[in-house]
Amino acid sequence: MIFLMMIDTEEDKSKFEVLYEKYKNLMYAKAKEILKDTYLAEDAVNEAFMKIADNIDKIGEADSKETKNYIMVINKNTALDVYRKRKRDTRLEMPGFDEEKEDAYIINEGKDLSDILCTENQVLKVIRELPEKYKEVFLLKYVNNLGNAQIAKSLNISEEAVRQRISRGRNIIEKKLEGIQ
Amino acid sequence: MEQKKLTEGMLQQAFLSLSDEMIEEWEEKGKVRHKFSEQFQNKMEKLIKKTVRKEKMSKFSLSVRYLSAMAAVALICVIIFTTGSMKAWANPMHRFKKMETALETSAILLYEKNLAEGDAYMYGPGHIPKGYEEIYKGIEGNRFLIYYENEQGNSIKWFQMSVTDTLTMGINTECEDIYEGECKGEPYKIYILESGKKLLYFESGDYVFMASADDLSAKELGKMLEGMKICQENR
Repeated sequence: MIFLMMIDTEEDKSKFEVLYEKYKNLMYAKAKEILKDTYLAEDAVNEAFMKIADNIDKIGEADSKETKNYIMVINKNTALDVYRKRKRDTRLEMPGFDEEKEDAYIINEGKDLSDILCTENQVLKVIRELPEKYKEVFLLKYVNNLGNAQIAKSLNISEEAVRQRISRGRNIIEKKLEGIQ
Repeated sequence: MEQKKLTEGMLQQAFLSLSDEMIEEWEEKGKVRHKFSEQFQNKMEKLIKKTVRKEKMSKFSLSVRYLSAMAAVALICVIIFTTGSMKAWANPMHRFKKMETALETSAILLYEKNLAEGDAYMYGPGHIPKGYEEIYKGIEGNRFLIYYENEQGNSIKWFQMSVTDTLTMGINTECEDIYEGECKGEPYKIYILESGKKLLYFESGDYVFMASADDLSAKELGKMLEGMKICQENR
């Protein structure tokens, strides 16, 4: 019998280190585009990597489409969170600050998806226009095949918020598709 | 294009296409290399250390993943089965298990004795080097593991495995030096790698002990073994 035994993997770069080296510049560029500030962008990248570290078990090969999608979503979500937080912080000095009216989209609750006729291009066109907070939930659900609990943990929101966004997001898609017909 | 009823499948396909578009745009816009601030790099260094530790711990609990990772490193200990007798094992649960490895010329035959199932004594080091704290201890299949770490992130890993006297061990190493010592009247060896890492190997009775240390002298690693004592008992 042959028995191979090895104690350590010191030459083996960890998955997280590989992700860091591969994606830090891409993540910074996106954060800078949103925040228009070098230090805020670096903070956002650091926060995004903290979320990635917390969810490292959900990430596969560094180069896979799923990993790119996951990191891209977390990157944008975190930068937008920093942006919103900053906006809130300066709100007192900015009269007339307009909150996003997400409830304006709540319509057609409970309508069956199968009632709507559309083409694949029409669906793609509609989802491109979807507000970011719905888009990111759907991207994690459909591209990364994450469940509500995993999406909630990745985006740092409650499971209830994930359920609501999926439901409201669907309503928006249906409404817009109906408008196209 | 023909209109179809909107289904979950269509939605999924649309989001997969959207993801492709977004990734392409993201990669296109992010080609510039940024010089990150020192503050950012310090924060990331700490996060990387913490996460790498978490990944390592996770590897411990997945023995198959662990073994395949092990097969990728230069140091290999080969145990050669010399006789076919399995009489030394009283427990009928013991069995050999063949595992595939990345090394074409090698195969892993794991002699499995589940330390958690049968009668077994688990030995831990009698001396813990200054600054190190135990961060993990547990039995995983045929291995008893203890993992220590200091504030600088250096680690010591302690392994105890079951074997029998029907097994002998040949060790194929690429090391700079070998330190030899004695524990309970039996010899042990510590292989000192080029990187400074030390790997200890010791057989005693039904058990094989192995330990690795990032930043410890061979003498101190040997001291851990020499003072080893029973720290857990399964009967």
